[in-house]
Formats: sequence, C-alpha cells, structure tokens
Amino acid sequence: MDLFSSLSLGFSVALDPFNVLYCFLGVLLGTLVGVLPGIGPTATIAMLLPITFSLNAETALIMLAGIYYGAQYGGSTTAILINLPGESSSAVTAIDGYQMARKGRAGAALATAAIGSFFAGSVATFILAAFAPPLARAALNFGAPEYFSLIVLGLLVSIALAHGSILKALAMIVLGLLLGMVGQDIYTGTPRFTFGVREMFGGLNFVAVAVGVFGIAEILRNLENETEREVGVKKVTNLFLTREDIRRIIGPILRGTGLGSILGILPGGGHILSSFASYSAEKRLSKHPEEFGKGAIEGVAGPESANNAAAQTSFIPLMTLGIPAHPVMALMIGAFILQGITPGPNVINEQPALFWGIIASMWIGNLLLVILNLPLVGLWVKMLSIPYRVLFPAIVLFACIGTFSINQNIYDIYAIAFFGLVGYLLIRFGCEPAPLLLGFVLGPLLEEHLRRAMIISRGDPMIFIERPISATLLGLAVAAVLIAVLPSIRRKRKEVFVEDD
Amino acid sequence: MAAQGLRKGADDAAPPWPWRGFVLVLGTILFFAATVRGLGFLPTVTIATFAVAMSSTRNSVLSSLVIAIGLCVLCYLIFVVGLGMIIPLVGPWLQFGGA
Repeated sequence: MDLFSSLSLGFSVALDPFNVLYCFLGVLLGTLVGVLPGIGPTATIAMLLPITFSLNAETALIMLAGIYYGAQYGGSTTAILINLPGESSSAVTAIDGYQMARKGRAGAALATAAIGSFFAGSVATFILAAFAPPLARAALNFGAPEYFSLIVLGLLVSIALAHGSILKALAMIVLGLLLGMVGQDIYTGTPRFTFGVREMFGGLNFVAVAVGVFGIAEILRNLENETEREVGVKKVTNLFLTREDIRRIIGPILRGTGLGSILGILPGGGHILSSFASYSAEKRLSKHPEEFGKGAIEGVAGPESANNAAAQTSFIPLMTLGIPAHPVMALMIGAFILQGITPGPNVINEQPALFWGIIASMWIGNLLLVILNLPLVGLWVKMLSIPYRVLFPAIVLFACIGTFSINQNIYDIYAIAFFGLVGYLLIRFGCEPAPLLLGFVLGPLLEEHLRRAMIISRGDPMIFIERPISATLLGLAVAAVLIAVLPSIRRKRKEVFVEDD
Repeated sequence: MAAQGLRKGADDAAPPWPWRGFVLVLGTILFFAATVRGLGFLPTVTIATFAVAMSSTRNSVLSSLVIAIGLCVLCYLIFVVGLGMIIPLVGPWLQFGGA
C-alpha cells in the first residue's frame, strides 16, 4: 500500500463521527489537564486507561493520543497567562510568554503558540506517516538479540538525557527493572518477589504504579505548601499578529519543528529537551539576544513548535518497534495491551485501520485544538480559577475507582498508596520517577528477549556482538553513556538545564 | 512540573513534611481498598472524599462535605451510569435481613 491509499484508509477511520467525538473528548481533556497545574497527562492517561477498556481499540487509542498532544497545547496557555508551566515541556514558554502577557500581548503570545504548535504538529505527523512504515519493515527483521540491544540502547539513552545526576537516573531504572520482575517467571513459573501474596503472582499492576508515582505523589507534594494561584491576565484580547510578528516567527517555527522532530524520537523526555534546545538555538541565532527573557516572540514560537513536533514523533518508536520513548508512551503500550494488541512492527500490517487511523486522527486533533484554544481561551482562563482544594480529592477518588475497575483487585489499590509514598519520597530526594516507570515497562520485555536470545545461542552471550545490527545498537548505547559522562558535555548539559531553574 | 519541583528544592532547603496529607490521603486510599466491597460504592466514595478533602488546610468541614457529596454524585454518573461499572451501590455490610 502506498502512502496515499494508506492515509485515505486512516482518514476513513478517523473521520468516523464516533471517533471524531472521542478525538475531541481527548484533546479537550488534554487541554484541561494541560491548563491545570498539578495534574499532568501521565496521571490522566493512567486514570483513563481502565475507562477506555470498554471502547474499541481505534477509538480508545485515538482518545488517549489526543490527551497527550492536547496537554502540550494546554500547558502553554497556563505558562503564558500565569507564569506556571501547566506541563513540564512548556516551562520554557513561560520565560518569554509571560513577559509578553505582562506587556499586554497575551493574545499575540497565545496565537503564536497555537500557530507554531499546529504547524509543527502537522509536519511531524507527516514525518511519522512517512517514516513509520519503512522502519516497521526493518524492525520485522529484528530477532531477540536485536530487540534486547535496542531496549538496552533505549534505557541508556534515557539516562543520558535525564536531568541531574546520572547515577540517580541509573538507580531509578534499575529499581524499575526490579519492580518489573515481580510475579511469576515467564519460563519456569517460579514466583519472584511476591512475599507469598497470591494476588502479586501476576505482577504489579502497571496503572497502579503509574497513578501512584505520578498522580498521588504529585498531590502529596502540592500539599507541602498550599498557595492559591493568581491569574494575572483576566481578559485576553487581540489574538491577531502583526505582519512584523509573522515575519519574526516563521524562522523559529521551522527550526523548532525540525529540532523537535528529531529529538522527539529519542527516549527519555525528548519533548522537554527539544523545547530547551530550541530556545537556546533561537537565542543564539537572534539579532537581538538581549530581548530574550523580556518578551521575545521568537522565544515562544520556537519552543512551542519544538515540543509539539516532538510529541508527535515520539509515537514513532512506539508504533514501529513497540518501545516507549517516555512514560506517556509506556502508558500507550499499556493501552495497546489492554486491547489485546501487541505493539510493535506487526501492528501496521495486522491492524492497518488502527495504525493509520491514529495517524490521521492526529491531524484532526491538531485542527480541533486550534479551534478549541483560540476562540475559547477565555473559558480556559476561567478554569484556572478552580481551586486546587476541590480538584485533588477528585483526582484521588478517580484514581482509586479507575484502578479498581480494571480487574476488581483490592491489592491494586493498596499498591497505589504504596507507590504514592515511594513516588513522593523519590521526588523529595531529587530522583526523577520517569526512568523508574520506563524501567518497569521495559523490564519484562528486556528479560524476555534476553532469555530468548540465550536459548537461541545456547547460552553464549557472544550472540549480541556477532550479529551486526545488535552490535551496532550496543555500540551506540555505550557511546551514549560515554558522551553523557564526558566532562565537556556535562558542562553543556548543565548550561542547558540551568534555564530550567 | 519537574522544573517547578527543582526550583522549589533550590529556594528553601526543606519544606515541611505534609504529615496531614500523608495520613489522610494514603489512609483514605487504604480505607477505600478495605471497604469498597463491604460498604458499597456510594458510602465509601463519600467518606473517602470527605477525608481526602480534609487533608488540605484550606478546606473547612463544611466545604469538605459539599465536595464529598458533589463528587459522589459525579462518580456515580461517570462510572456507574456512564461506563456501566458493576459494583454494589450499598454493600452487604449495610443491608439487614434480606433488604
């Protein structure tokens, strides 16, 4: 099938009124959680996973994908209007966006963010459509050793890209791998780390871990010191850009889209990295670098385009290899599995309607987002005045009921409480919980492929080096770690993340 | 969110431990797990929401009650009516003599 007939199949799925409705619901919810600080797309998707169980596969995944890229949009609204990133990747937008809002140019900043996001989203979706099929074909030649090496590469790259201490990130991954081992051994059936509790033989529930570590832990952290949010800009007027503005944002949008598309494919929060990278690139290229931090429109256009492009291209490793680039994609894997589909290179051939439907829905979703965000921005500003004290009990209860409804297992709810505490302590001690979840999801895959490869080679570990693709991937993994620990790059990393603070 | 967390960590070395949040939020989740089968959906959700809402120092008893009742209705509509979740609304512990 060529690209166009595939895409027309995708649009026929995505334009089904029922799917359009759920796509709309998805981007609406995504915008909502993006706008509201204190609840992110990871926790939302984790809570909604059980609900999507009753929908069919296309509809469920279209909606969940919508939540994810919708949150990227919504986060920028909060960043611009109240200088609080609603979502981590819009932290950069807050720097110049809020300054523009203070100068009375909130409308222009929001419009720039929306235009940049829409353009970047559309282009990146096209990249996804064009590159996914050949990659999936290549991936079909992968055997167990190649998959093992690929997962090792993914995990190590995510360490290299993580903020802060490399040692802590490594520890989080290893902890995640260990948690992923709970349950029965896949080949012998021996129970591991179950402490004799029968309910734990099937392993820890993924949703419970995700909700605890991201949802509940975040609530506990917000209860540390409660402050009410202040909405600085009550009314947004004049969404139109001047000709001068348009001239200034074209370059940043194009560069942001390119940077974001490439970085999005990398594992470990490429969308956050890409917005920082785009911001520093624009600052370096600008003729007036002194304007940055004081309301430069380029500082909104570039990073917003970059994080949206990255949000779309981060679907590439998921759809072609079945390997998640970051926690939200890990949840999407969970969604595939709940629907009885094994994510990976076979999806494109076995479920073409699903595969192309999701891609086509991204265009529709991006269009819906522009409609939702620009004319209705007043509504979102109002949403910001919902006090957190009303919001968080709802989050806790939805988390409990949602997790319970998956398989009516009481132990899953105990697990939420346990992982909420663990997650809070990790944040408290400066460890990022994202690599933990990545390790938890990839752990069982890693183990399965390792053992399968060992069976193929009759216990000879040289198999990983003798096969060329596998050896190349392992080589890249080693290079990623070396680069991360080299002193010159470390300084650079520090520079990039200084603007984070 | 992560950026915000980092910023907070840098400014003031040790924000107070949210003991009240620990006890009430985590306790409520355990309470929910322990009673949802026995007490049933409606009572458990109401009591649990009330307890969680109380963990914020900004909620008074009255506002927590309002939140609890509102959320109970909302959860009923979403999960039971909307999604057809099968769960006893009022559990066996509260039913007497073959009610």
